[in-house]
Amino acid sequence: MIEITGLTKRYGDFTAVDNVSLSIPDGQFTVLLGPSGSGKTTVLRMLNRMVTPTSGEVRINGKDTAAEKPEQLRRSMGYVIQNTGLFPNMTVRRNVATVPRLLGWDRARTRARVDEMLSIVGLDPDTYAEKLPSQLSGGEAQRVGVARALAADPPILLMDEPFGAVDPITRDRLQLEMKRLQRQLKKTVVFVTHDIDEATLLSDKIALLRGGVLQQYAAPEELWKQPANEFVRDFFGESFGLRIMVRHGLSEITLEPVGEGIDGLPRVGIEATLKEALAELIDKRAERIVVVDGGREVGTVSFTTLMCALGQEDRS
Amino acid sequence: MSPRRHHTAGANGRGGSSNGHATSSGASGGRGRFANAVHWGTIVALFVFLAWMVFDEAGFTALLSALVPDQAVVYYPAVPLPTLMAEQLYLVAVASTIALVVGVTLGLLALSRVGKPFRDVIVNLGNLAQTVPTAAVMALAIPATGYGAKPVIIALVLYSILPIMLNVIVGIEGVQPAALDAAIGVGMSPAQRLLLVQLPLAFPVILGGIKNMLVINVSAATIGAIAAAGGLGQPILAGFTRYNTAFIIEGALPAAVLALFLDRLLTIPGWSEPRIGDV
Repeated sequence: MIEITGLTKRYGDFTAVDNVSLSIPDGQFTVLLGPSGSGKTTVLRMLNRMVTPTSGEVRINGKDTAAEKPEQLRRSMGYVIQNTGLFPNMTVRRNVATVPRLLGWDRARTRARVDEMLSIVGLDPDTYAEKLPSQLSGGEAQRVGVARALAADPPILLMDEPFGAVDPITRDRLQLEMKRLQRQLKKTVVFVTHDIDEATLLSDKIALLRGGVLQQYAAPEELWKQPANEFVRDFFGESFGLRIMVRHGLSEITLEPVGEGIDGLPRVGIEATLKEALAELIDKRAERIVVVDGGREVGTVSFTTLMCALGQEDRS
Repeated sequence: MSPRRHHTAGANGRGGSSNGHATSSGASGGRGRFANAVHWGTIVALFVFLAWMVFDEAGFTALLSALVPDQAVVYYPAVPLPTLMAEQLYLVAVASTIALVVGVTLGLLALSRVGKPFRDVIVNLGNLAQTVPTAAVMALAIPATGYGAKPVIIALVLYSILPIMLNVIVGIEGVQPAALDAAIGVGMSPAQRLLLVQLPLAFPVILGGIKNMLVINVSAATIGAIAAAGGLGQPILAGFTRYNTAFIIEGALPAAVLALFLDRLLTIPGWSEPRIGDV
């Protein structure tokens, strides 16, 4: 549990972060979103005290972070930044082993942990452990960055635009893996981005900032249905509903019964998202598509079904 | 792959531009291996030539006679060349070691929280020390220390602090911000950041400064002969006063080859550069 209360950062006359309060439960994927200069990175860096707050406090599991030694505090939180921040003079193994070494783990335990972490982020330890960062692609380097952040098994992971500098295709894949990883490891993630799609896909809750002031802190569905103000509505824009469709799968919604006349209709797997189903309807110019689950036809989906499904979000 | 950032150690005074970036990465492929072979071949050749000049008195004398045929005495008789070379190396080694310690300390001081406001002052002092001619420093130091190695070492140290200090500053300030940010973010203490990240990343640049210093010192130490510190400058000085070109060559050629040898030895192809590049 991270409790942020009245957090403020001023640089001279300029207020970078203005009285932000947030409560982040364990295991939640929280995205700090906002245009550049909105103070989102400053909020993140106040969590591990790389920036000292002017006023306000951050409590983790009830303990005031200001009371702890900054180095100790940081070792208990994973930290991933844009451009990876890998140490170019160290091999992948040494990079991932950084925090375990700082914590004084013994060799065998560190080694085993590094291999495990590389595997978790999808890199074969035998192939990658002895490489230098300069020998990695952008996507590989970013995976190593995530492995390094997770190496000492910190309960909290801070990520500052981690996928900002990789190409779009790699970014999409890394985002999906990040989501899977977070579900698997149940980390409390605080993630900074200015990318609405990224925020919508990954977040449990989004904290939208503007000029250092928190505009709204809610799940994307709520931000869509009940924006707190004009800025929130305008920021997410017209197609926010469409974006939200990537957050939900066909398995979550009420399908129409299979019925008659389904021969020749396009088919889509139950694991598809609502957005993929919609894309299929548009692509095939079909009114209905058949949903299949391991070869079995479990129902059909039409525009109306999808609209109703999003409508249900309204009531939930 | 990523673009490589080349750090150059700024204004290093004379000899400054020799802070070389010798070859391509050399990590893979035949070209890199060839460059490596040439590099190490050069080092071995320079060393063998140097050792031959110093230890094969008859052979070197024959070479000097061939170069200066109308000179009766071509090999400096007062002190044997191995002794002169030993004196030369002693002057360079002592001065360089002191300068290295002082230069690194001052460089780190200029970067520390305490020294930051004085960074420019420290750099300017280093620049000032380098503008004073070596011979003048020796002449000024002799009344205080007497003749011999001491005034020479003082002059060399004063002269070599700048390239070391400047390269420490430039090298550490040139460490990519992302690596430093990550070092802070993962919870390294300031000392751990310096030892594990900043110094290793700045090392190729600092090595460039060390190389500059050695090359400068090998040549500047020959001036030590005017303070009676011995060294390879002794036959050079004798050659000037007695119009003996052979004596001059006997001192100058080994000094030049020694400088070249040290320069090549501290240029490590394909190793120093990739480590400083962006990730």
